[in-house]
Amino acid sequence: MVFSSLTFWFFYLPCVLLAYYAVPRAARNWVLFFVSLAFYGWGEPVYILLMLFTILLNYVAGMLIEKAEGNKKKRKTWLILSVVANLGLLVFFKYSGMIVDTLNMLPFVNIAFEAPGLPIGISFYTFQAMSYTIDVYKEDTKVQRNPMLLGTYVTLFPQLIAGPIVRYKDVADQLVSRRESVYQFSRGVMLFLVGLGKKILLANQFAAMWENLGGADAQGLVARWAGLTALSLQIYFDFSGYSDMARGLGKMIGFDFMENFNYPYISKSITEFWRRWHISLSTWFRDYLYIPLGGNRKGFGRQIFNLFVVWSMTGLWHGAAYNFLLWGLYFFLLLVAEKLFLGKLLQKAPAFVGHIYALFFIMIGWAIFNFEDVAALGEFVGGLFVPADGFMSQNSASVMLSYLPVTLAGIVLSTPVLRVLHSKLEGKNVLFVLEGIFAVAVMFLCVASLVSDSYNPFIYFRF
Amino acid sequence: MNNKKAHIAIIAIFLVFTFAFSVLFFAIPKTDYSSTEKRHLAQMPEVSLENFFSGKLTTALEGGTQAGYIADHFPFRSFFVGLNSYWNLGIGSTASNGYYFAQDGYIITKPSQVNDSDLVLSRINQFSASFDEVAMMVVPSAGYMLQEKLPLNRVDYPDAQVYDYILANKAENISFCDVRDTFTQMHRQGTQIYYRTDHHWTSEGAYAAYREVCSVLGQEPVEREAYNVTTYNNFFGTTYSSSGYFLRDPDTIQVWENKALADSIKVSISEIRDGEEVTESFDSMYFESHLQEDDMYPVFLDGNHRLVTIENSKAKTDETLLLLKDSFAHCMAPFLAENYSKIVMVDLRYYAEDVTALAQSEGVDKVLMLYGMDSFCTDATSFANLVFY
Repeated sequence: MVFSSLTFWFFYLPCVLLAYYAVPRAARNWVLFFVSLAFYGWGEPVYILLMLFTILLNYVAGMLIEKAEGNKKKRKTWLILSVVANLGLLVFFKYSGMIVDTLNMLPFVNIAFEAPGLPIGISFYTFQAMSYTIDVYKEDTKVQRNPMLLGTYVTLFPQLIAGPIVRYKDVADQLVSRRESVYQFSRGVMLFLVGLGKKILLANQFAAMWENLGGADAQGLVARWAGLTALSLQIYFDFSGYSDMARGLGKMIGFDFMENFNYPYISKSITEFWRRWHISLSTWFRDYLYIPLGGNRKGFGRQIFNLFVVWSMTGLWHGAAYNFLLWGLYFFLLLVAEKLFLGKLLQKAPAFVGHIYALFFIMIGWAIFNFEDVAALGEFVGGLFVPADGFMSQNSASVMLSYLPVTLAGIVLSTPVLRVLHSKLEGKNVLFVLEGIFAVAVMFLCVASLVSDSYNPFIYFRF
Repeated sequence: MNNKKAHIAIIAIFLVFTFAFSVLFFAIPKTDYSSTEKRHLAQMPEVSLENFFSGKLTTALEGGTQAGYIADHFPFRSFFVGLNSYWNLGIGSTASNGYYFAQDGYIITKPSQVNDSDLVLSRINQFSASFDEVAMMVVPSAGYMLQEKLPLNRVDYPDAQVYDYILANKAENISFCDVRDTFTQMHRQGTQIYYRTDHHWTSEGAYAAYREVCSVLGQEPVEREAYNVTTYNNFFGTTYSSSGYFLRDPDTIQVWENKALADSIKVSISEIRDGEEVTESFDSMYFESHLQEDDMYPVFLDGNHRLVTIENSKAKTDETLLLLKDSFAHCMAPFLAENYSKIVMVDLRYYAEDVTALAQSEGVDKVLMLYGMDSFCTDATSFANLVFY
């Protein structure tokens, strides 16, 4: 189930809120556990079993690590076994198809293999579950003896399928001792509606704009840049919208999850971009991969190697295809260049240079992200610089003009303008009036868009 | 305002909206059929564990390739569809679902994206080789004729290029009837050629085109004084329902009826039902029950059917006309019925049999192809029926 659907909003969510607030506090985590399983099972019920297995696996691993207290070797063995098992499942379900396809390219290799379907959200919840076991190992958190509570943490529906990747130690206390409040609920409502609006009223428009411009086949240099702009805005509003909805829903049931996006497109360097984009993922890789590998403490050469590993993995985490690996390595190169010399140059240069530099490479990055086919990628990116087929067709000019207002709105809204305005009005009554108007408008427009998706007149049909 | 009260108000706005629609969804009576969309709405799937685990339940409720039950039966569905269209209009889109929001209450189809006209014409040429003489008319797009009513941000219509292409490449025995000059003149004089809320031409437009066609077919047109014109209000046609511009006014539709023919007409409509051909006969070309519906255009010959024959015992000639057509022909055929003792109308979208053989068995004297620009540019598949037998 996705948040931006009528099913979630008008059927699932009311049931969850009713059930959650109807039961006594002690039973609320049970409610969350079961409704989260139902949420996950809505699309593909079979994979509930896989998720339960992951929970059990990490529960047992945590207990074993705890039990082996004092025995460093034993603790490490259990940790390694659990990490291997977690990653094994992830690799099997997400990467086996890619691996077999790669092997089949070798001479004399011909493996007949049908890749399993990708269980939704597996990359997110596997990382979450792993963070628990690793935190127990590092003694950053206490072991969870109640399997239901661990299960609630892993399955928690708000962040289950698209993050933020919440670390166990950040929510361990909230799991048992959170206190829901009117203030938190109302902030949750606003965050949810902000996210819903970002997804439905902005991201979907940019998706349509990219599509109407011809997508990969957009004709003309200007049209391609407009398309890439649309794609960049779509990815940001889609993903950050989803994170906002997750955080908002979390607040409605008393949880505070970390902020996942912090206006990434205002960055002045790629290093800064990755501090602002999908923060929970970068943090995860930093804490559970980069630092354990030695980070920057083992000499410059080792640091470069560590970065190489982290960015290859970050790329592949986004999808089981080579363009994602390429995308990760592309950022590895940029980040290393910034560490070596580019960062200093950018600091000396006027701010706008940094902005243009960062946005340029972020956008080219989205092209790499979007094209699985390297030849098509080359053609598209080449067309951004050489007007081999002119600048724009009449059709693409018309599309660009149609989407100009929403594009401008998207550009403005990817900066902190509204946040600044919001904090200026903090505490004033007019803010609540504005919030109320915003809420009503967003709700009506989002329902309008969701309902219209089904509106499909059958003009030529005989009846 | 107390701070806590304000927060409660925000929560209330959200919860009231959310719960109101979930309750309304169950409370309001469901309809099976959407008359604006002309389709049956999604059915409630059977709730069972088997359907749940196979994923069928999810798809049926949320929609996959077909519309889902929830969106199809959402409370105030047309209000929301309209809201969405007008919101998009407000933020810069000049069209909705492929229809321009034009001036003077017009909702006009955008130009076709596909241009199959070369393939279509080659199939028509090939088919025409079996006949001595074939007349052909392609009705210009409404947007092409009414350019000044279109929004400023629009795409050009391909009509001029398509006409040039046809005139240069048509087979020699095809007489092409170009109605553009006549329409331009009528439009300048303020005659309404196309409906505001539908993609078809008006009876005025069809009558003018009928006179042009007569000159090509060598027929004497019936003068307009012969007709009793009845005007019906509240015509909400296809461009109205498809665009979602539900605040636009309805158009009127005119039925031109020659009373002299009241008792001499026999219309036979052939359908395929359960694999069997079923033919029903009627004594009028006008199906007035459709005047009760939002879309009144099927008043002419009951809308789209695979095969319709119109026989007129008082016709000016005893010739038989084969009319290959799309729905533009429906309001012109009644005019032609006065000239031909028999008109055999074939809709290639639904007629999957050998048309040449049909023409032979019917003893056809003349052939007329009458298509809207959109069919001519996009529907190469249907025209394939002409040659692949």
